[in-house]
Amino acid sequence: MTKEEITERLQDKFGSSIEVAETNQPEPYIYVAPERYHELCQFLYRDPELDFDFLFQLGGVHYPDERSALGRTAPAPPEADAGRFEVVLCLSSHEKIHCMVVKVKLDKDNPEVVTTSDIWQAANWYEREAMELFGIKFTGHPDPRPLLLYDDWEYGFPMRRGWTGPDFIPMPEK
Amino acid sequence: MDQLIEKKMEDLREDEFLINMGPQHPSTHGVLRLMLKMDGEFVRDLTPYVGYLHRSIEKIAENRTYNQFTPFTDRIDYCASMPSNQAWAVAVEKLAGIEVPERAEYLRVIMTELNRIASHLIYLGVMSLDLGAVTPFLYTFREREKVLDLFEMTCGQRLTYNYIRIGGVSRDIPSQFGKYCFEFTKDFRKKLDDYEAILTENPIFLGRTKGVGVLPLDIAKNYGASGPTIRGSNYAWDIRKAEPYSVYGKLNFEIPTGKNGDTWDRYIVRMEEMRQSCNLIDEALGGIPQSDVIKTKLPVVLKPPKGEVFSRIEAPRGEMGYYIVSNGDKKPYRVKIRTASYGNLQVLAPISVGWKIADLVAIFGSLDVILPEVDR
Repeated sequence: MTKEEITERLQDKFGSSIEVAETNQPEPYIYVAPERYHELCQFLYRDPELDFDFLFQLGGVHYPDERSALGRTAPAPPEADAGRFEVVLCLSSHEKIHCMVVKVKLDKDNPEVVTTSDIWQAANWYEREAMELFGIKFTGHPDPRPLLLYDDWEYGFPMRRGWTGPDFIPMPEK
Repeated sequence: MDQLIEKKMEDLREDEFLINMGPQHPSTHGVLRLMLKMDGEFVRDLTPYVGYLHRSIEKIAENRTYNQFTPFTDRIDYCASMPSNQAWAVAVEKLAGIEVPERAEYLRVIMTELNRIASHLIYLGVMSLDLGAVTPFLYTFREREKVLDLFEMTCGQRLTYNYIRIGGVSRDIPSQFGKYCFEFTKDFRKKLDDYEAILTENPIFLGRTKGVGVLPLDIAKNYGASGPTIRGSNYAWDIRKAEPYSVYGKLNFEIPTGKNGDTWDRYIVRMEEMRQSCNLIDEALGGIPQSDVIKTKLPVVLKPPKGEVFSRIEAPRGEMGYYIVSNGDKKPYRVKIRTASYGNLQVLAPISVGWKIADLVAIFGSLDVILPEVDR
């Protein structure tokens, strides 16, 4: 299915809970509200036309303020919209050979979203990694242990922007 | 005396016990810790502990320019360094809309397929070593030396090449490359037949691998397995055919599949893939266009437009891809690396339950997991 067909099908079903991002990429990039995230993922997995049976990856992104997302040359952002976490899913289908990207915007201070490891088992390890590196909580995850960091790690969430820890020397700006 | 033995037998318990297959183990192909819950000799449950080789490459990427990050991609999977470079180059080219000259695309295909052969040779040698056959290990590393000679002739490096750059390749092949490469592929096909003669119909090898560790297709898809692991379960899924990138759309090759999804099938798939790679290399070398341009002219400090990209390629172990967020700056904002072994290792727990610990070694060898890919 093409990008337009996928977005049309999702907009028919989910209406205003999803937002289509304007990109020049061949895959659709869809923002979904956190409340309907699990429902959307189940629909993507079960629908016979879309048939997204392969979770390629699941990752977190941290935007500490809107300025960092827009870049240094952008004008100053409005005060109200300041910072968020995002969970990004890249999905693909084996039979239909199409891909898409689903993104969820989460609260800056308390990022929490439902787990999708009951739909795609591959999400299990990706969510563990996002939990320990970003601090995003996935409610209902069967096994929320840290994956990559060592057991007595106590220096915060390293992948967040602006993190400093012991022995972290930032690159000198040239 | 008999009464003493009987009394001792009353205290005997048959519980499950935990065995730690620790991070330093000759069969775990890297620093992987497996906690096995054993019932006698049989594995009841398995928990992998990873992270011993976590080098925070994704965090480093946020502090390097796009070209400065290319050598880091070599080290994500050092046994298949060319495809790792190519995954990064393909992703950034998709983001910035960069066209790669045709000669460079052919060179990329030749180098990636040579590296696929080298990587599968490591798999073959190490897996047979795990099962107790020492000879194929030495034979495959001897063949691999010829491939490494070819790479050294081209870019000066034997293991981490930094050859496939954004916009093309770093340097052209020397004039004697074609002759050596054709000799290598001709010779290698005969050697592959020799290796098959040692292992494929060998009753010991068959006994240890046939029917062992069957991977059902729905588990493979749901857990994120890709590459030869899923092709062994009778499913012809290959990114080079499904979403062709580079010049794979123009070249002729087939995708080998296994029938049952057991360890033997995954071995056969990789042997066939080496033959298909030889065909691809011969065809690419024969059809390479004569040109001087091997790299598009790009600014020294590349600033892709603001946006995001998601792209993937077929690395020897499976699908490797990147999700890059760029905010118009010279450094990427966020780089998320998805490697093949991350998905393949998750499959180990469901399929090895109920097998003996020696079978676990065979199953794990057949998944061809390399730990730097998992930990990044």
